[in-house]
Amino acid sequence: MKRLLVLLLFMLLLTGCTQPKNYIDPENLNIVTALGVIQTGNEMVCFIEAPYPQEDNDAIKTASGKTVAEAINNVTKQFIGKVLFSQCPVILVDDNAGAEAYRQLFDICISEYDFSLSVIFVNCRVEDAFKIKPKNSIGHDVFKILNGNTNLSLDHYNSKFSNIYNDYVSKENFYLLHFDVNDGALVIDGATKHIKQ
Amino acid sequence: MKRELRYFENKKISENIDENIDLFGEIFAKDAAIRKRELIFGYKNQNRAVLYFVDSMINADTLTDAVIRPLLQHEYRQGDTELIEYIEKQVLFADEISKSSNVAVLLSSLLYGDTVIIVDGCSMALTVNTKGWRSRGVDEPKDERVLEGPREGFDEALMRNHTQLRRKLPTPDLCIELVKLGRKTDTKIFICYVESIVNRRVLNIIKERLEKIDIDGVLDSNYISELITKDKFSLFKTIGKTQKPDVVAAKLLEGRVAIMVDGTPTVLTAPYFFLENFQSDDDYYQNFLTSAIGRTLRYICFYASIYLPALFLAFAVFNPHLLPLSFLQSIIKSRVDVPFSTFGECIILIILFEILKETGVRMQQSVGHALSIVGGLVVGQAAVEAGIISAPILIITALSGITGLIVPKLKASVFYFKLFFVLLSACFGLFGFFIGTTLLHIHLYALETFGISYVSAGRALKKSELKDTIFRTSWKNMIKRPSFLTNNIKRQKTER
Repeated sequence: MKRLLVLLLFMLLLTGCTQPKNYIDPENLNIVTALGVIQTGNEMVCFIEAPYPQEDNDAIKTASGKTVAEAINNVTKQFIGKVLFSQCPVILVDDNAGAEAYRQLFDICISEYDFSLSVIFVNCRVEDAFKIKPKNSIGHDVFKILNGNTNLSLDHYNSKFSNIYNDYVSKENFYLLHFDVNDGALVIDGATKHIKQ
Repeated sequence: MKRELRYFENKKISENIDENIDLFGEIFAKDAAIRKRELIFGYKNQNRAVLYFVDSMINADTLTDAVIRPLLQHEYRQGDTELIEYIEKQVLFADEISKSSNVAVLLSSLLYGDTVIIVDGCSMALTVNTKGWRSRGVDEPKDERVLEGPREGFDEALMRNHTQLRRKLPTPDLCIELVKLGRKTDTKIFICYVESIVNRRVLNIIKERLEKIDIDGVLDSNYISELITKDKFSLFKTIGKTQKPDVVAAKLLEGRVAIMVDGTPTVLTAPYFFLENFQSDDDYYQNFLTSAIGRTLRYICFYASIYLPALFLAFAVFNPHLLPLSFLQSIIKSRVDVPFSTFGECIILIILFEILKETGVRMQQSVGHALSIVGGLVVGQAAVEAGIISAPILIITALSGITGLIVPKLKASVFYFKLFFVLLSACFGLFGFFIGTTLLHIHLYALETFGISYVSAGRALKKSELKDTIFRTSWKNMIKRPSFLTNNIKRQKTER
């Protein structure tokens, strides 16, 4: 019994696992359902959609930075509570974003943030996409569209960034799609026909 | 001395009554329930006889009226028919009398409630039907209900309990040693074992520990249980408790020792292993395939019961990224207006369930429906609707509470384990949960039950030892007894 108590005491004192910041009640979590990145010159602008737990109009927040990571950090500062990236299923990348934006995003996905293992990169007009204000979330809508297109094969998309994409695709974690925004809704445009094999 | 019936199959009684008295005295030296009554009868009191019977297995009135009184009142004179035949045919009033010189036959009848009459100078003895044990008037133990198989349970009278056990094991190999404990109560305690099978080491440990007890009163077997177990602070029982004679008989046949205490229907059995917590009588009285489902469920439910609230807490509070989005969303939505933290809510509900459970056990049955309504509707549905507690945690703790009841032998411990894991998960998340699991199993492996490892059955990893563990195989395959329990491992005559 004494040994057990000593062991527990050491666990409490030495592991650092008891920091109160690690204990977060679920209602205080801001679950990111979509991340958008726009490149304007040398600056990166990030959009984060986190409808939970607020579920209000202010679910989308935006900020800029010199790098994608800095922009993401600046956006997360605007939220109260922890921002949870692990549930983010899609990252929307602007049509105008260059190779550098993609490289930085891939690096972030792999190393810095707790993104899930499968993230879908959506190539579209990000600013328009985040103005849609869908019923549930942008991420939810993307999935809805994908579920309706059973012929889509996510592994075979030949984009202008195929070089960068191929560097990471070996990990089979990321998928790249092209979406368009028409009449206030996300649609898969003509370019995605390449996806079909 | 060897006491198994087969050793007496070729043994005949002597014509000398004193030799017979010595023989029976030796055979039953360790059976405190055997009674002896010597008589002197016949013309000028020239004949001697001795009666043997088992206390409380015979009807005292029958014995007096049909055997003792006629014997004492008749005057046998030499020259008549042979004495033993005279007694059989002209003296005794009993409905069923048989004659035999074979000691094994006599012992067998004696241990099943007959009275054996040995007369001096006769090479044959009589067995008279005087059976008179109490017919089943005791209820089936509430905690050990079975779908099939024997339903009789022990009651508070030690001798009646002994009778029930003796009926299951009518062999002189069954030893019953009397010990008296309690300075004021002088409580009778029977140590029961099958001599040819029992684990001697365990028996000696039990006797030693019983000898060391010095207490003013023993009113229940739990007094003994707590006084003779080594790990008093362990939440796992290292001594078994049952109220069923068939269970005691089965355990004795595996080499265990049973301790019967006067004044309580609960009989202790030792050693007691971890796997026994998950065994039910039904496992042995139903087809082995059918019983496998129940036993597997008991294992799953025990771990589900102690782990579910802790795992939920660890995932929801420390590792939400491991939960599916839809599940996480529903947790968040249900918790938005709840005033308590997830941990607080978890603890409140666990304690609330225990309160309801304890109330259910202690109160009258007629109030049961009211409790179900209050517990189920008011505490459950209304509290969720009022936003005092969230539905997912209510479901998890209710599930944990219900699954904890499926293993009745561990239901008291489950509460402590649940709290232990919830506390660890609330402090350390999944890390704490796995540390707790490791500590639990270290403790399990370190436990001993009367000198034998508590997890012997699972640890041996021998094919022959695993036949009655997570599953029970067919009786056809269970040829041997567990070797960690007894040296006499052969259970069936031939190996197939």
